[in-house]
Amino acid sequence: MPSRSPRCLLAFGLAAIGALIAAPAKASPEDVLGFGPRSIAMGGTGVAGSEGYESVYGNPALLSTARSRQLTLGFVGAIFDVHANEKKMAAGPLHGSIIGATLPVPFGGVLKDRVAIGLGFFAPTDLVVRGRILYPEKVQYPLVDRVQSVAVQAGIGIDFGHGIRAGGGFAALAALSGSVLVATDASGRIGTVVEDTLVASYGPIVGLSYDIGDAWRVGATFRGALVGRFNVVINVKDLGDLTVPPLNISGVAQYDPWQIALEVARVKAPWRFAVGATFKRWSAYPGLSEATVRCPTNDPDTGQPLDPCSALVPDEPGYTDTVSAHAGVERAFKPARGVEMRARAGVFFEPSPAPSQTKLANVYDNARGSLSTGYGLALGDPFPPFDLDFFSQLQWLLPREHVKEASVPASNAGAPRTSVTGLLASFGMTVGARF
Amino acid sequence: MRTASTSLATSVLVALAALAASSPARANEADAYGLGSRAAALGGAVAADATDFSGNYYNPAALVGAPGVSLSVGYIHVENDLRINDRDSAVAPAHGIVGGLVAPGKLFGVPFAFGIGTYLPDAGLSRIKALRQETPRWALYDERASIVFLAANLAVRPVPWLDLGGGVAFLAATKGRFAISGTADVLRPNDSQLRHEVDADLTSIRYPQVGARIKVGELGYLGFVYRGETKLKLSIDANLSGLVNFAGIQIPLLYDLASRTIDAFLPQQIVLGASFQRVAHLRVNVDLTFVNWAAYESPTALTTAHLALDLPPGTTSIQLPADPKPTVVIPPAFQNRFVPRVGVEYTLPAAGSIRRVHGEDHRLLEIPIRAGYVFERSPVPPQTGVTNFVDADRHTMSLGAGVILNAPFAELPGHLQLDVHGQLSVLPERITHKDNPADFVGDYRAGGTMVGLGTTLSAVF
Repeated sequence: MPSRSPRCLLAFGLAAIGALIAAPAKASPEDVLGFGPRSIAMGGTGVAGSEGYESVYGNPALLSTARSRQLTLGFVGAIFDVHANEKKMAAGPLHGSIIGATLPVPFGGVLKDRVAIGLGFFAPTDLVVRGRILYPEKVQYPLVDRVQSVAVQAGIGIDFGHGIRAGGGFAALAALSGSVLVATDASGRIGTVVEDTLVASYGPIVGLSYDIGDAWRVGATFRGALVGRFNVVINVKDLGDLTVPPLNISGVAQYDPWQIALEVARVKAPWRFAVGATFKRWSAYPGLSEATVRCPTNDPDTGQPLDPCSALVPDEPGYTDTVSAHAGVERAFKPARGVEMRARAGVFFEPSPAPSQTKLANVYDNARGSLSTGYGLALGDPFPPFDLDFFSQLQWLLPREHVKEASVPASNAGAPRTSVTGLLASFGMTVGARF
Repeated sequence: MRTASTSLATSVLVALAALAASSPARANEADAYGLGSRAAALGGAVAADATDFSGNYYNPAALVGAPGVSLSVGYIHVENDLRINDRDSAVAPAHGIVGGLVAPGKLFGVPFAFGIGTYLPDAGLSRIKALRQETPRWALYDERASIVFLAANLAVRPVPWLDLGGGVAFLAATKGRFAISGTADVLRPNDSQLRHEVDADLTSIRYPQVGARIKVGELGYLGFVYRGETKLKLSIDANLSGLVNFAGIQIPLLYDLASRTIDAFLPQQIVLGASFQRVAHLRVNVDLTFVNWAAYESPTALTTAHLALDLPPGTTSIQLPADPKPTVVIPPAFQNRFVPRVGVEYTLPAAGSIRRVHGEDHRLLEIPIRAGYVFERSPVPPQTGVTNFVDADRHTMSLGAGVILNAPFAELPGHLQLDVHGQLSVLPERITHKDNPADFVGDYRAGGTMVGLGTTLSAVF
């Protein structure tokens, strides 16, 4: 690899990555399913071996391996079959579209063939994000809702030479913030002023990779926490002697913890494979719901400290950190000039961060084991420059039993014990054009 | 006389109803203030001349005319000084990041391009303020630029004189259900044992835009654009179920509410544009836009609500508030409008040696100077009845300039371009006379100005 003005490259790279990080990464569908047909088919790997637009999530540093402009369109579908005590839980399907683009920036001089930009979108057919924050004693399976979210990701990758690549980017998620003021109007009736705002939540994605010879590569990716929070505060004033505390209709509808993924991959055809692990900081998860009434520490009029109040406070979710393991393999065939076929397979194991539901709550989650397969066809001269990729993935929700404590009333929907298991099947295809 | 307990219940539910009735803005920044400094400085008259990222709004077909891969980012800030009876209406300023990219190439030997354009408001992707139809509001400007614009487009050039393009733009709305339950303590409010749940979706709305651009010999180009109509149907249900603790008396309470709203109306538009480029370094652009404002639908929420209390013995003196009367929505009866736009650009080959860029010879330094004008006649009819959609005709004058560095260094074989623009909109005072002398709002005068500044930096490879 040529060594052109490494200081210049380093400065440019850090500036570009810094600019992206400044606008604070990742959204839920790719955390549950993976992002892109190749990555999903290879067991959610990609930190050291992703290609094309899939690198915006896998490792933005690898965008710098792109050498041609490419636009990719496709679709993804998923169905859930979750059972609690052999009774099927309500879980709607997921279906949405994928748009991916890679754009090598055609610099000249020392930056020639060094920098590329990538965009990756997943959009459920009719949703931006689902905000379902239910009472905890209701039987629910949040994973079903976590995939119902738009994933918007962009990144830049830079090749510094000597096998070193770095990249950065962000993922965005929509959330809702607002306020409602209720007060008596001039006519003596209760009037309202509503202001709410659809806001974007950002999380950074930063990646590094190092090529070991021309066959092996190691990669590391950091993905920041991504929080989709609903927060609408209702203030009631001027109602005579009546004092109403601010009412907070708020909670975390979508959440991905910050995570670090490490991977080693063989990237040289015909056999490519990757093995990696991802640490996820689930212990920082604040839980779905927040307190409706929050105890003020000081009197708003006098500033004097107030006695503690007894407003309801949701229980801590008690999530724990997890480490997931991923592995994938790809075999390339070239049956004719301009034709490359790739067969793929992969596995992963994702532990559950959620504790056993022994108290009143019935918010279920399971460890997941996944088996996936895929196929890719890449055409080149003399054929039209198209790529075609398919994948299918089957996730098994490992059986888990939740035994309630003796203090939990028999009327609780999860009492006295609940066994939860099921399947998640996903599939999809994309078509890419190089131009 | 309403009791404290019922007041609390009603207050909370009215708040929820109002939230449910809240609605996104009615237009976007690109439509109101322009997308990118060059287009804004030309009064938006670029339907036949938008080969940069702004083509993602003005004419997707023009993207295929981009000389090379381009990346753009910029910022715009608009201050609104709109007044009713000389009092500031507090119409929020509009400010945010604009940007996008264009990636041209060839597919099957046919010129092809892919583009993305966006405006991201600083204050959020969309800002919502729910008002009754009687409340005076600047219907077209109050939240007009507070909504995100994001569009993705494709363009092709099947024959050398014809560009075709199209894509989709995106919006997001809110729908769902909110509920509060538990016991509200009237005497010690902070000890209220209340909790809530939310089942809401932010839904995506996609609306189409297509365009064509025809090269007319050496004269220039003609442009045709169609932008689709979009509107959001909002459906919200709210519920309060629990007890009100009033001096030890536990009163069971139930309140149900349903709200149905149509809002965020963007009218369909048809644009015919021309760009005269016969004279070297000079471009004269003229656009005429048909805006289908007659299809505008009232944003007023249709709400039903019901309050029920199970009163214990001895509290028969408590009077319940009556259920609200059904809202009678007055048809807004907006009128279709034609919007003329004119823009002129002259590029000074200022200094430096001749460089070969994008297949043409250019000096190192070039300075484009621009001016534009737009007239938008108000589509809002005289507000002589109970509604108060405030609006006035709008004259917008704009100026702009730029600096273009052609092939400034080896790493950038194309050009680097920095554009700035200023924009002044004047809304001459319009007087509204009410038919009813006892109208709660009464007669009023409305008018004002808007001042906008912006800049855009582009790198074209």
